[in-house]
Amino acid sequence: MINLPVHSFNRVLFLSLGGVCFLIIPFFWAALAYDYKALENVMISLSESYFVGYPIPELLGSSPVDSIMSQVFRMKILFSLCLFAYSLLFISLSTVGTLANRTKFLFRAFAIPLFIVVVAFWLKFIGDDHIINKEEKSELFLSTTICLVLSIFLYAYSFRSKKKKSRDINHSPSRANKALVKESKPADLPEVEKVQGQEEQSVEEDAITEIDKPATESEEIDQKDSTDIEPDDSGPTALPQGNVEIETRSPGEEVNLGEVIDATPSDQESEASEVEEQILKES
Amino acid sequence: MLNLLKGFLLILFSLFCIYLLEGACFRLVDGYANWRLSLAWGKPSQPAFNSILKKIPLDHFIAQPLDSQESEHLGYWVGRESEYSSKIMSFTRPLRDMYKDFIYRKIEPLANFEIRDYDDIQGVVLPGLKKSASVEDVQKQKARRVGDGLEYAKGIFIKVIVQRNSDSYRQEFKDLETSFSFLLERGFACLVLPVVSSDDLVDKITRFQEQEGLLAKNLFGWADGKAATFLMQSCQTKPDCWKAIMLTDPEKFVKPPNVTGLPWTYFVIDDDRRLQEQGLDLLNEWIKLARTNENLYASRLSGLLRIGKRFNVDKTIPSYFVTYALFCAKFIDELHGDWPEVGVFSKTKFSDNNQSNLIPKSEVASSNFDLNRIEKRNNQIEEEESLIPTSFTANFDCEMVRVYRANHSNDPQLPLVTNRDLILKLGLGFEEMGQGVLEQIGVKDPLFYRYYNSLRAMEESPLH
Repeated sequence: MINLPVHSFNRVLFLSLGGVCFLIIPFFWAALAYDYKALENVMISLSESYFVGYPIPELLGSSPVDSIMSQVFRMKILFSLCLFAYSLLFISLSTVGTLANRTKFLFRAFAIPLFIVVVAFWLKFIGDDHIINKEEKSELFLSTTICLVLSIFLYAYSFRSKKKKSRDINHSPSRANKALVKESKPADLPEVEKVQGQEEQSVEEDAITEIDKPATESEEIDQKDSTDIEPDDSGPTALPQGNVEIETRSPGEEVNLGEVIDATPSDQESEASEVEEQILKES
Repeated sequence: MLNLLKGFLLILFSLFCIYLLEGACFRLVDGYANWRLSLAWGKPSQPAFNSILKKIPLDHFIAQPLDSQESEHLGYWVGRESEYSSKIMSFTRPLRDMYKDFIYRKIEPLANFEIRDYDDIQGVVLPGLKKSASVEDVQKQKARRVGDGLEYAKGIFIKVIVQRNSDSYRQEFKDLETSFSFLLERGFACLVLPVVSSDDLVDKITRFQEQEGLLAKNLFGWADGKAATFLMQSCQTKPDCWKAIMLTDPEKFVKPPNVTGLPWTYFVIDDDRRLQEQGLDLLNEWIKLARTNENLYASRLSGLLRIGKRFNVDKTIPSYFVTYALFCAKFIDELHGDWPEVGVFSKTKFSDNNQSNLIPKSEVASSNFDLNRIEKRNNQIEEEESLIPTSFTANFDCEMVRVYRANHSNDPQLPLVTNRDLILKLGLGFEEMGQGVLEQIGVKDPLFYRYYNSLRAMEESPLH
């Protein structure tokens, strides 16, 4: 059977979104070239619209003395450029490794231009001899607030996604245990053992046991009664229940687990997996 | 190092945010805008540039276009003056916002104000301000006894129109009602004054001032077209008649009176006027003379020029005129009657720029009429003028030519081509490009357009 590479859903989404945006550009120009009236009318009415008392084309850099055709043309060009830029962004985002990074870049790609647009507009407004009435002031206030809040929120969220990931990692069971082990002092150990119980040994403890006795590992497994070991499909971390002979330390003996785990993490994992494989073979 | 850079960027960003916030406050809050102006220029009675703020490129410290030494055509100068006017009056924008809003919202604008007729002047809308009569007022027979209410106004805003028929007057009054209401609420009396000539205007105004001295102390006139020419002529006849005059596209420009202490003058002209050039030299003179004032406020704010767009469409008083009149009245109020007297303009003193520019009116009046002295003085002026190089010689120098020469500086043949030929060549090229191209170029460089049209006309002339 051939194994095809499987893309994640959001990666495909970005790729297709970029493709669609990219395709809109030629369709847009083709529609205009073939006299698609509705689209042309949209552009003309947009060129006659106002924002805070400014004609939209003027905000996009047109001169008031420019003809309406040149204003509309400028708007078409800017629309196409914007679409092109975002289509490239979406496509490039689909190649970004992790979802967290992808989200981060996406949010920043919206937040930063939005902020720049708001700032540029205000610089123009402050410098111009442009008089506005109350409605236009409200429009200005609303649009500025929405844009600023949105851009700050998006920008902040682009950082937050990274933190969320690290928090998720911290919350994963193995890491959590590791942290717990690292932070625990010798005095805390009995509590941990109490929680987990005497019968259910943790993976770490098993691993320590195995690490402590590497030479006797095979002998001990040989000594096990195969009937006592039940097949377990629950997962790689599942351990044989019952009377498995595992050498443990005496309760009074303090063990600094953190030191041991930190010292040989990779060996511990590999040996644990070997033990599991052995058990499975025997079963 | 990275942390240092981050800190530096953070400081820069914070400064930029402060700059934006300050700019927004200046743009939107009237109180703050006025406070910043007084901080930059000091009080009107003791004006002085703020030495610290002057280092920051604020609107209040923008250089006057007349100071520029560039030998350019007046068409360009008009453009720069318009920019200067909008910058220097930028502190009035919040008030102009209020005015615009007022115009849209106000219903029954003159409901609360009295309209009174006087002998020659009818339909004066009064703001209803009263003050108690003093002993001096009783002595001048303005009041019967001390403490009586005397009607006064911060100023009278007069719209001068050419007298045609009663319908035109009524229509004009109706159109201006809302604008009047805004001024009335700020202590101004308002009036539409139909006149037949400049003499008629001066006559009516003088008599009104004699009758109602308190009310008609400060007069602010606004007129357009032919009436604007009357208003300019009235300044020639009686320069101290007005405190400020606002002129919208005068039909004909008039030579300014050769005096200092002219009223604050604000011109608005159509963009086409720039292309015509006719009378721009007189306009230049007016503005120069209006600015000859020792007071910082008067020298910066008197003599403004703006290129208008919709003044033929809007029937209300333009917002920049309203705020100009209001600020002028405020300035007069803060001067406490220390308004500069009208004096004879002395060119040498102004060119030295060290001495006082004013020869008091009383001194002028008292001096004896001496023909020899006048002749001597005339000769002196002629000599001075001959020394000053004329900056507006027709060497066909314009922006388009300069840009073309700069772009083709590598071409060794280009210095051999005259500006005249270059204009013809470029103009023909633009015409060949298609209909409307040359007109668009004309908007961007009016002087080039005019030169080209003149040269084409000369080329096509049978006398050529």
